[in-house]
Amino acid sequence: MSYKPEMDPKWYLKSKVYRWYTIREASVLFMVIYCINLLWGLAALSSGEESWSHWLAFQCHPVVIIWSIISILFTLYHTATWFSMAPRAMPPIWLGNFKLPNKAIVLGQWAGFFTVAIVLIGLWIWGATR
Amino acid sequence: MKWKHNEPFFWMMFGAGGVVAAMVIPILILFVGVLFPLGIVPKETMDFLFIQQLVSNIFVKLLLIIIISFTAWHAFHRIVHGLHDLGFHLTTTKRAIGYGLALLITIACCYLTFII
Repeated sequence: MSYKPEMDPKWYLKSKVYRWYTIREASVLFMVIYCINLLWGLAALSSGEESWSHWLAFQCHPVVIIWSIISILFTLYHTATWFSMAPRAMPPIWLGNFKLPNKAIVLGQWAGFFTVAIVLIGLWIWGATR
Repeated sequence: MKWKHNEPFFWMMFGAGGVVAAMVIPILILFVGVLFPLGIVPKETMDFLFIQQLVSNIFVKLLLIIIISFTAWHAFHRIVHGLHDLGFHLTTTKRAIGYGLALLITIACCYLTFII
């Protein structure tokens, strides 16, 4: 005999917490679609300059730009939730008798995020225009 | 063998992918999907010969494989568990299809970066 609990099919609309949870979970759909877009770009790159410029033209289509902006918002929400749950998922860091506050760990990760952003964009532009 | 014995591996990939996705994916989309199309960064950054030369570097290949495939493992772990949230009973077949798609993205990414 098995127990099957009743489930409201629209449970994720019932409270604010559930809605934000669902938005975080949905962020992965935008990640998968972008990964496939990048794979398509790599395939275009290997098949020659003409396919590459078609792929680039697709990235510049207004609808695709709007889609990209939506994807950035969803994936940034994943970033925010990931960074804020990290201190709760890892063992506490002790500096002598002083416990490193959770806030410091979250801020440290954001500092890492912006460092990666600046280094990546900076190196990319520098490499392409030197 | 019970499925729970496999869980640590998928959990590890979920964690690794979560970090990569959090750190790099929004910036990557911003660059390729917004800054380049709007002409905010120079168009040479997406030049065919430049990108081809860039991707022929072994470290760039490895970086791309890590970014794309780890993100895929992260995403499909959440999709598989999301099926449970939507009321679908999780079976080994459903898990195998989910993680199989992540594996497919990994293989495709390795193949595509190494033929360039």
